[in-house]
Amino acid sequence: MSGFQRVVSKDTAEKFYLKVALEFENPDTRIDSVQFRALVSKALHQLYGETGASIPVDILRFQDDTMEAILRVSGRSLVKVWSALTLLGEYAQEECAIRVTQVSPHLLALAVDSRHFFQNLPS
Amino acid sequence: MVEFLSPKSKTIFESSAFIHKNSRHTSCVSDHYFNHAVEVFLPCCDSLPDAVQVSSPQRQEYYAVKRLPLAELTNAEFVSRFVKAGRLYVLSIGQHIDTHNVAAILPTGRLILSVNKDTYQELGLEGKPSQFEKPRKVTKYSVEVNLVAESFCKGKKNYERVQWCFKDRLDLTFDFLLAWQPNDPSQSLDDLGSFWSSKYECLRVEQRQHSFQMRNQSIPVIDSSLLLHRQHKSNQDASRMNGSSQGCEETQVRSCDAAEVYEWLGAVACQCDCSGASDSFVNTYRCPEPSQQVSSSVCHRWTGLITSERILHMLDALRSKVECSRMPWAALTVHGFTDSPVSWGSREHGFSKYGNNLYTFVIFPKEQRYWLIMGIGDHDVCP
Amino acid sequence: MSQKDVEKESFTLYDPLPRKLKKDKTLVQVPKDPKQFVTSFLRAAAPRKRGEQLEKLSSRKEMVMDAVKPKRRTERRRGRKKKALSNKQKKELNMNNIPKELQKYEMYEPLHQLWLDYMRDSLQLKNPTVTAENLHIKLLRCDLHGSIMTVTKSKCPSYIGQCGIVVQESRNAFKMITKADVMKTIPKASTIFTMSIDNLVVNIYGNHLRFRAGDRANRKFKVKPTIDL
Repeated sequence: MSGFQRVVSKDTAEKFYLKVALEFENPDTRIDSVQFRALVSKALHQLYGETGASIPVDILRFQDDTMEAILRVSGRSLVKVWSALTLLGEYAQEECAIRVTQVSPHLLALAVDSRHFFQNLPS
Repeated sequence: MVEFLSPKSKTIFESSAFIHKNSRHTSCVSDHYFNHAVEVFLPCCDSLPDAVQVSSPQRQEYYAVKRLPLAELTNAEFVSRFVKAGRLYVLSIGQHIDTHNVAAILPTGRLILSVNKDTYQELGLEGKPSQFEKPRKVTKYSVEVNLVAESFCKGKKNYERVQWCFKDRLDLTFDFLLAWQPNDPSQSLDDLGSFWSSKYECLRVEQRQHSFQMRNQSIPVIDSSLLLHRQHKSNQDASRMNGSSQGCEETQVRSCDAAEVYEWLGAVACQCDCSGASDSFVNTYRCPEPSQQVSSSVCHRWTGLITSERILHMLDALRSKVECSRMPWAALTVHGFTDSPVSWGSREHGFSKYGNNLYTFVIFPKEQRYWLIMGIGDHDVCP
Repeated sequence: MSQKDVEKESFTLYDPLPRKLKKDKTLVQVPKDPKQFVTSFLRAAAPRKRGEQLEKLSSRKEMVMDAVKPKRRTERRRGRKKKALSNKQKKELNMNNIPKELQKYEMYEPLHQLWLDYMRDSLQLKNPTVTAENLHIKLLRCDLHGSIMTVTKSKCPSYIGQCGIVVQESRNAFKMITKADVMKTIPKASTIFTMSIDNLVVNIYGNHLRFRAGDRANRKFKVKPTIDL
């Protein structure tokens, strides 16, 4: 019963997680998570058509105030979702941009970001 | 539709016991030198237990020095006063490892420089091309200097060459984070700060804390002996198995899979919504089954530069806490720096789309068992 | 006028007839038989060793006049050319190498001074009309023996920082004598050298300069697509 077991999984990750931030040209514009999901679908539809729009994307977290979101996609569709989000320029007649800040196959890793942590050190 | 190649990921799942003679938990913690954040998740707790609080890295401070030339870190006086007299952790910040130069001093007294091609061709120190580059198209090199070697002292050729390269050839300056664990208890971190305070801007930084509590939450039920039963059943060839075989043939599985737990811990750490329905438009993620309801649980995170000794302390405190309390399990997660040139030991670390190097201990009260889950990226060497 | 008179009077004006002619009367007199004249003329004029061939000649048969023992002539010519040694032989005799006892930095310091004078002279740096472009062309063509060169960038880190007076230049390498009196051979490929003439600091991309010193003087340089090493 008690013993040592080690499993290494090296293949393409099953799931990928993206941390993104949405920005509007007009800083007062706010949307909610349902609208954001529609926005992602629209972005995918724009670039990859109907099949693209059918890619399953889960929005694990959406912060209404900062409009930051954590998305979950399957490993196979990561490149498609990433590119579609990057190329999105407009939603509901308003110019916007999506910045992908972090990408990882480990959801835990999105909890901290060492790259941006030290940019605002007290000086 | 077009298929794109998605980046590879490596995840290592280990199941063992702390009392097992071949347990590698100590080496896993102590070899991971540059720790950016430590996070504990304790179910069935109202607040952080005192034992854990005492052992936490809360009171451990570190220095941030701005625009420090590398020559200062390699001169003989600094080496004999700090590098040789304790465990010194130095890591450059603000520079990205995939495009810029990165420097670090390991507690073993080795200076690791990860430099791009142009810098390498001007620097004049011997190095190795990065492992993750294609041959003949190398754009990254890693240079290693042993600061505690006998030949590294004033007057010797090796030392003079290194000094000349950092001083006269290229003026390599970085923003550095420094943490120091002196061998001699009479010395303290203050010495490090006062060493340069006249010449460079030194800041004493505290670890940043972040804590949150969750009420009426469902948490997965875990059986410590069933690590990866679902995956194991489906693709036995892909995974490498060691030790005793598992009772996975049972038709009724009464535990969550390690991969599911790992994802769920991530969801908690990111404060994600775990209540999605399977037909929801926005989110279909929910806590893996089987699950149990707990009234309250605590998640606490320290961020900064944390030494591995401190984490070892914490792990021990957490172990004894889990043993004598009614927690079903507890989790400790350690995040490494994205832009550190090494991950575990002196294994090279790189950045390709993501540069994670993190590990999680899931600690069980029964038989001192634990799960260790290590997540690394494509540009990393398996520890 | 008799013959004797002529001899007496023209003593200073004319030389006497050669003795050969005097012997052979047929030559002096107007020949009645041309065949006889030809044979006797040939006998007198032709070199002695060709005596046997004279009969053939006089019988008006065709014969090749040149290519008489041609071997000896060519051999002699080759022998004369051999006075200079070939590059290979020079190498075998170690003529390209500077002996160890002559590898002294101070020995070459005057050479450097000489080179500096030469560069000042040919570049005319003080002349305000000299443009950068002119300078480039001149620098490409000038001789680099005697310059103090430092390796500033190289694919191989151990070459970086080597510094010395150039004493030899070949197609693919500079040989320089360092301050420690050691001769170093530094390949031109994937190396950047720096030298200075008074206030002018010149970077030399070794990749673009891979010709022999002599060839470089009158050569058309092609633009290379990259300065990457």
